[in-house]
Amino acid sequence: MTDEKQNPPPPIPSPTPVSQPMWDAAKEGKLLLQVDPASNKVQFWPRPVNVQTGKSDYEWREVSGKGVLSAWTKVHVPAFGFADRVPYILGSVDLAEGGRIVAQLVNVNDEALVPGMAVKVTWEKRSDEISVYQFEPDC
Amino acid sequence: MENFLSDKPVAIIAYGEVKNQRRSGKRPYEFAAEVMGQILEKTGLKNSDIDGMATHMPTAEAGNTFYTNTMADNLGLQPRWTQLTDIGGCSPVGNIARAAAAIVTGQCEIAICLAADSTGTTGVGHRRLGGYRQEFMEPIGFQGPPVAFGLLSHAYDQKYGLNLEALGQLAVTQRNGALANNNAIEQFRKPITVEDYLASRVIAEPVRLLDCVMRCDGGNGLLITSTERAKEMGLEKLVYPVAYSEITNFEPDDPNPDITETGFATVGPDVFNKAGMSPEDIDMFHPYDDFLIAVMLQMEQIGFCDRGEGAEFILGTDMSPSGKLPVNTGGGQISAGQPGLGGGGVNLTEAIRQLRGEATDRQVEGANNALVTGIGVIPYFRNWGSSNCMILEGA
Repeated sequence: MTDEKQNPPPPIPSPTPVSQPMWDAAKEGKLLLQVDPASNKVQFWPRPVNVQTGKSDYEWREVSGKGVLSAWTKVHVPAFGFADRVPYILGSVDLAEGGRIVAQLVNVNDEALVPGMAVKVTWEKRSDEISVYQFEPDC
Repeated sequence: MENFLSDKPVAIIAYGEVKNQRRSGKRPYEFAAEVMGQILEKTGLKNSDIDGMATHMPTAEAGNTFYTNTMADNLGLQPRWTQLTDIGGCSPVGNIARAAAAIVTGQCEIAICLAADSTGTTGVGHRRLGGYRQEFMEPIGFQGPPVAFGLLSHAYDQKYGLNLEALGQLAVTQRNGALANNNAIEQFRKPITVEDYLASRVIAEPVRLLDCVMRCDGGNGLLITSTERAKEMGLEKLVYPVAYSEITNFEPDDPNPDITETGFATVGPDVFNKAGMSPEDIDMFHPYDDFLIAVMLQMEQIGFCDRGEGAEFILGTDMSPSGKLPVNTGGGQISAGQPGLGGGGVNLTEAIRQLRGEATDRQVEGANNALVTGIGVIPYFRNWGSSNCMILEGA
C-alpha cells in the first residue's frame, strides 16, 4: 500500500471553462484540441483565443493522437507526486495534425527511443473526472 | 525602432549588492533596504531624493498584489513613478530601460531599480504560479526548469551535437569568477574541474547538477538619473545604457517551433544595430545564466559565433577576466547563486561593477563596455518566454 504522505499521488488537473471540452473528451479516450479553421494549425494547451487571430474563432477537433517523438529527457529527480515513478521519461510529441504535446512516455525503455519514432496517445485515469494523456510506441 | 538611449540621456550613478545566501530567513524588503542603504551611502543622497522606483515580482512575495506599495512603505519612499516588472530574469535589465524612459519623459528624476528575493527561504511556490503550469505541467511530472532544459539540450544535441566538455569548461570559468567574488554564495566558493561537472548528479538527462543555478536569497539594485543631473551632482564613474532590445513570447503562432531558437535571434542583432556596434566590439559579456547551455545558445544567437559552433567558440576563447571575451566574471548565477527572480541583477551588477573599475582581483583591464542579457520564463514546450539585451558603456 502506498503511503500517501510520503509518496503523494500525482496532481490532478483542474479544468478551466476554456479547457473543459478537452478534459471531457479525454474521459472518453479522445484527444480534442483547438484548431484555427483557416490554417488548420493546432494549438496546445487550450487558450481563450485562437493564437493565429487573437479572436475566439477556434474550433475543437478530435485528432488522431498519433505523432512522432521529437525530443525527450529521462527525469531522475521527480516532480511532486512522481517519486514512485523515477526515473521516468518526458517526451515532446509532434502530432500528426500539427501541434506539440509534452507528456510522459510509457511502455517503452529509453534505450529504445529514437528521434522521429511513431507514438500514440494513451490515457492514465487519475479520477472519475480526469484522465491524463500519455504516449507510447505506435507499432 | 529608434534608439532613445543613443545620446546617453541617462546614467547609472550607483549600485548596491548583498551577498547571496542559501537560507537567510529574511524577506525581499530587508534585502532591498540593505541595497538602498549602500546606494545612499555611496551617493550621499537621502531616500527622499528618490522619486522613482522600479521592482520585479519576487517569488517570495508572489501573491502580494500590492508589492509596489508595500516596498515603498518599507523603504520610506514616496515615488512619483513606479514600475513592477514580471518578465522573470529579464526584469532587472528591463527596468533600466523603463526607468530611463520615465526619466527622459519627465515622469521622475532619480529612480531606484531594486531586485530582491528570498527564494532560498520560501521555496519557489510553483503551486501558486497558476496559469497552464498547474493544469498541464505539474500533472505530467514536469518538475521544472531542468526538464525544460533537458528537452532543449536533447533537441540541440540532435540538431548540432551537444559538447559536454565545452559546457564543463564554461562551468569552470564561471566558478573561478565566484572564487574571486565575495558576494557569491559561500557554498560555491571552491574550485571545480571539468571532471567534476561531468560527474555531477544527473537531474533530467542530459542536464547535470552543475548545469543548474541554485536558488538563494539576496538582492541588488541601482540608481539612475539624467546624465545632466548626474554631472551636476559631481558624480564620477557613470555607467551609460546605450542600447536596449526586448522581446516576449517569441513566435506565438508556430505550433511546432524549433525550441533551439530563441528571442535572442531577434534582440541580439537589434541591440547591435541600435548601438551601431557588432559582437567584436564587445569588451565583456554578462549573459543571464540559469543553465550553462543558455549561455552557449546566447553566444550563437546574439552573434558571437554561428549556430552549432558555440562549443568550439567556448573551447577556443579565453573567457577569463584577462581573456579575449570575459564572461560572467563574478561567477554568474550558476556559481554566485540565483537570488530568485532578482537573479537577473547578478550578471547586471557585475557588469556595472566592472565598468566602474571596482571588480578587485577579477577586474577586466580596459573594459569600456559590456553586453548584459536576461531570460524570463521557460515555457514547457516552446522557446524562452522573454529575452533582452542591453549594452552598457563606462564613462
